[in-house]
Amino acid sequence: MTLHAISIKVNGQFRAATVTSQMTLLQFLREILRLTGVKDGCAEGDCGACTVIFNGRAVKSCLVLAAQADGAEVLTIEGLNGPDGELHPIQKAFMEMGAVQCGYCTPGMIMTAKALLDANPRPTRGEIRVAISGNLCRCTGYSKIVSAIELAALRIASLKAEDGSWEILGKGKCIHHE
Amino acid sequence: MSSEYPQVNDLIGSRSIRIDAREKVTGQAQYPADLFMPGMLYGRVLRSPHPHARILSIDLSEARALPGVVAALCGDDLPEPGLYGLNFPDQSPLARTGGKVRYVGDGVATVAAQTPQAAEAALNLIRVEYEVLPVVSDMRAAQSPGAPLVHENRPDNILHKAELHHGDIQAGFAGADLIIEGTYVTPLVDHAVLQPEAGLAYIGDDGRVNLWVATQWADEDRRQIAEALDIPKERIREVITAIGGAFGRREDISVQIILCFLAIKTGRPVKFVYSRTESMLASTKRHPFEMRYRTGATREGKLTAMEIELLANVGAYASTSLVVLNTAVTLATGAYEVPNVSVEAKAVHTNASVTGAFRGFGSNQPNFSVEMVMSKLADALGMDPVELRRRNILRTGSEMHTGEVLKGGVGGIQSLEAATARAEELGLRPGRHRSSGRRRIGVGLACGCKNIGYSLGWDDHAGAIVEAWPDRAVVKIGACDVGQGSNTVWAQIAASTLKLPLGSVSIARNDSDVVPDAGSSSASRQTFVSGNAVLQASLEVAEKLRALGPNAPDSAFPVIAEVTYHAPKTFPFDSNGQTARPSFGYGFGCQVVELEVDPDTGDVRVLRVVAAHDVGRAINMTNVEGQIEGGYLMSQGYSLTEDYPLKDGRPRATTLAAYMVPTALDAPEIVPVVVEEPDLHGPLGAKGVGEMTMLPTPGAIGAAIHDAVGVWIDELPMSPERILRAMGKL
Amino acid sequence: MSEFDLIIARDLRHLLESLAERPDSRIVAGATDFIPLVGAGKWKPRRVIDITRVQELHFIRRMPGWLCLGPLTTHDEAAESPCIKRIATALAEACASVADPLIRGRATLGGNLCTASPAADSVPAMLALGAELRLASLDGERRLPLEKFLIGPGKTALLPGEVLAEICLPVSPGPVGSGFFKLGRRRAMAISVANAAAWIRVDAGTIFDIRLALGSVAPTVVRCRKAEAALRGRRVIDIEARASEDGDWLGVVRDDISPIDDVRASGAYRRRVAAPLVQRMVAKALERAEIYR
Repeated sequence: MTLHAISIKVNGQFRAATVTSQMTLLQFLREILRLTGVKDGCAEGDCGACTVIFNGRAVKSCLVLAAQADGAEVLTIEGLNGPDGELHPIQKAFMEMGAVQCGYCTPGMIMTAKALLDANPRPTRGEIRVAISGNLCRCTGYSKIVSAIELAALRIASLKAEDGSWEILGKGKCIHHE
Repeated sequence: MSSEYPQVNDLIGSRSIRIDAREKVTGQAQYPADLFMPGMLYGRVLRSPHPHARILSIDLSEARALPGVVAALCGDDLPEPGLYGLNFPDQSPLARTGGKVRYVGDGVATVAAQTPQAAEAALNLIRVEYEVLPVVSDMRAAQSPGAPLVHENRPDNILHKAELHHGDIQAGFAGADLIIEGTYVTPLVDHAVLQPEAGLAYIGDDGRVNLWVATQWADEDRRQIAEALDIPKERIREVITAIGGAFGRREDISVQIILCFLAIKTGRPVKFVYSRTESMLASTKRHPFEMRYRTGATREGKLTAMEIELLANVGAYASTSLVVLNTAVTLATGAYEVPNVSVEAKAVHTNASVTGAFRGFGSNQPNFSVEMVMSKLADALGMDPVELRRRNILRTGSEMHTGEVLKGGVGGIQSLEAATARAEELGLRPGRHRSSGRRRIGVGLACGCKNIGYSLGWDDHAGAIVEAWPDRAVVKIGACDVGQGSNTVWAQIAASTLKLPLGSVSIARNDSDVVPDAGSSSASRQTFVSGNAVLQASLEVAEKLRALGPNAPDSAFPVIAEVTYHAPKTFPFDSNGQTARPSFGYGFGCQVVELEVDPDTGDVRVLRVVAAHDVGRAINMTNVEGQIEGGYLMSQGYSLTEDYPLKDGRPRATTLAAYMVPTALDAPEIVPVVVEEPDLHGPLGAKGVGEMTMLPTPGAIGAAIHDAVGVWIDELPMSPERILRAMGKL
Repeated sequence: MSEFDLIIARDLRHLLESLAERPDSRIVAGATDFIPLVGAGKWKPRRVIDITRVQELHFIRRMPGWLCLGPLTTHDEAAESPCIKRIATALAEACASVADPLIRGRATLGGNLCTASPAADSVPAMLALGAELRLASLDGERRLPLEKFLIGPGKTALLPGEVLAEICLPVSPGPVGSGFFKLGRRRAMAISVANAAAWIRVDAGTIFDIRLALGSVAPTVVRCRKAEAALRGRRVIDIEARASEDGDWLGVVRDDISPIDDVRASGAYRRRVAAPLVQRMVAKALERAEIYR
């Protein structure tokens, strides 16, 4: 049984560990790094609660072996806030639109939304539904989640329009992670 | 809460942001699996692979000897009788030598080990000798003489029977111009909560066992843990974590007894997290029902009689089946007034998944049948399906088949009118066949009625403590926020009454050492019962603050009030199912569904939905809409795609890949309509909505499918296969 | 998950050498089948080779007469590639229908082929497109039509020491059109109940050549050869007229399938929907051949 020395940049910080072949990225994040914002809903790729951003793309972290992630860059929900705790527009929009009920799907949904808006800044409601089709929610019926992502897209676009350089400018503004 | 968030002066009816939203969107909310303690052990349970078997022997020696394993135990290590159960104790968390396992997933033995891998390996080293017994897989076969007994200490497999007679059923049919009969069937379905069952237990410095868990009713957990482990309830402290959905699934014991047992036996903290497969195997499901309805109506569309048979599948253990069956009887005629009714209901044991509480609690199944009957009657009479319902829907002054005369807070006609009006604006007209060429589009409508609260004579109550200072307040209440937003409702009620900003009211951690029992988060009761407790306590505190005046010294604070609110009295059935008042309130709803059926494949695509629900008064408008949207979609899954089939008691699949919960692409655009017909007794006129949102959906979808392709599907899920078969294409 | 040794292959040479050394190794790329199947105990590999870093296997190349895809091409890349969308539309559609976007960004075409599920979505498309595969080992290479590669449920013709190195789709001179349809129990994250692909080459108003494939209706994905024979050489306008009627005009498709009952659907249901699905894809392929004339 092989062991692997891995180093992964997680939320901007290099994290190193020795892992077994079987360990998944989800287990690495939750159990070794204690980033429990990344949720385990099934551990077999059917629910999306474990979604993180992996080398710029949203992936189900339960479907990546930790050893495969050596050298990768990972962003989890914990890395989305600004350094002073400022919320990302997507997080704010989820709160304001009532897109959060039990909250268990929420971190995964938000990461999927982030990856979507990074690649497609003005998605239609239909495109949003496709993007989140791998993230199950049992509470909301998805309506307010779609609306929250739509609102976040509008807000991010207007923040970018107001201020091309995209920095914290005070209350109400949020950091955009590249 | 900072001033980042919009300030709303009039909190009641506002769209205030949920007070726990921030911790959930940042990933800081802690669900039980997110907890870690030094020296923590990992608990696992070995579960029966057989639907029905006697345990001849359990050999734990190899498991115990594995390095890293700290304990390996089975039912023989529990005190006698070591049972639990919500209606009565008939279930053991672990099997005993000479005892039985009664469904695939029944607990056999448990281990606690230093790593998850060691715990998993230990399970594989437990040697159990089973004597496989014949499986009782069918409700009808379960009732035949000589059928194997699921529980041998009973004379037969019938757990419970209930009967109801109202009016004169023979006269009712004699006065009918049209009589229709039908059989309706609903399946086993799973709650599929996103967060699998989990908890952590440890022995505190004072020697008491501390349990951190996601549940629906802490006080009842503690009562059952105490009974099963034969320890005083006061020795158990239960703290509620964030909860990842419940819908009734967390009403029954899952990890609680095992965790406390392992913590006591090992003296170490123990964490136990279900896998998804384990969650699907082990936990409760919705009762499958087989229902026969014989209905009479005049040619003017007035219902004259309903003769009803209800058969509910209890599965292996009773859970809440007694009350579920009673609920089904109480709501057997759905949202309508029927002057002559007879109901015969039975709940029968089989070697299947334990069926228990699931959003609707025995009302969904009869409501489906009633709505299909109404749609068929409208069709047979050539009458507008909306008009037929208008002529029969329960109103203030109506007499229910239980004998209760409704006094007020009845939002049936209002929901019907609100739904149809909004649907009309969107161009949706139920029952107007719209197919053009290949596209078969149909629009269907249905209503629903669900009671609020425990009902039938239970003393439904909740305790709340409000503590206030001049600039802030704390609410202490044992109500579990399972995701529906109850904590936010208490904060809004207290803040509004005490004239504080919402951000200045906090809800104390749900810790049994600190907060009073508020009953379960079920029966759509929390806003009503706990809301009244919080309102009354807040009013008392407001009064005390006024009496203190503006110059009170610091030592006068906090001002405290503790209230136990008892809901209006209800009464149990007599032998004819009659009672002056089975429930203190009802919620009504009406949904209009537009869908398309593919005539070659039977595939159904839901296009648009209007869902109007009468909530008395919306305390938080966004959260009420969220209940409507979420409840509709959960019920769409129930109606079209969800099914947990068993073959001779064995589940055919136990993954979320096989269990078809709707995705974002299966969900239509849902238009929620909130109807406010103030309740007579609810806090500020509010009542409940959580379960009502599921009731009209199967009937509306059934009506829409008929509108689209001319067939009635009387069995859920209304699968493509069933649709093609009904169309004569299979 | 059961224990296994894992090697991270650096490049193609390293991969082939590792395979030669331990021919019983299982290859993992996107891991979207690997992790659930190993986790459920259905696969019990002792040695695993990760190939996600073998850049030589990750490409989309347009060559004269061929469109060549590396096995590490993800479903997402295939669904979004303008080249594949234009030349091999059925494959783009099939890849877009798999699972959900999160999985499509990781799951590879090579993995889909080598797992060889009868319900695999890319397979009917590739079969209809006439795919040939290049298999490589340390000893050399060989080429195999896709139909000969998939030999049973979960079984491929890969020999010990071999890896799937390239998927080659022949590109015919136009006009051609292709289409793919997936029938599942829900609209995302669904394993096909039945899926169908059609590829048609039109010449002078007739169906010059045609390939039809059906999945989830037999132990492997099947070519509907009887239906192809019935349509080859027919006039396009005749078939378009039939296609717009209801009914069972390609019922002969049923002769080529042997569907079973499983947790998703019954054999009878699959038998019933097979013809309509193929009929629709014939109509779609013809429509696209017209557009690309």
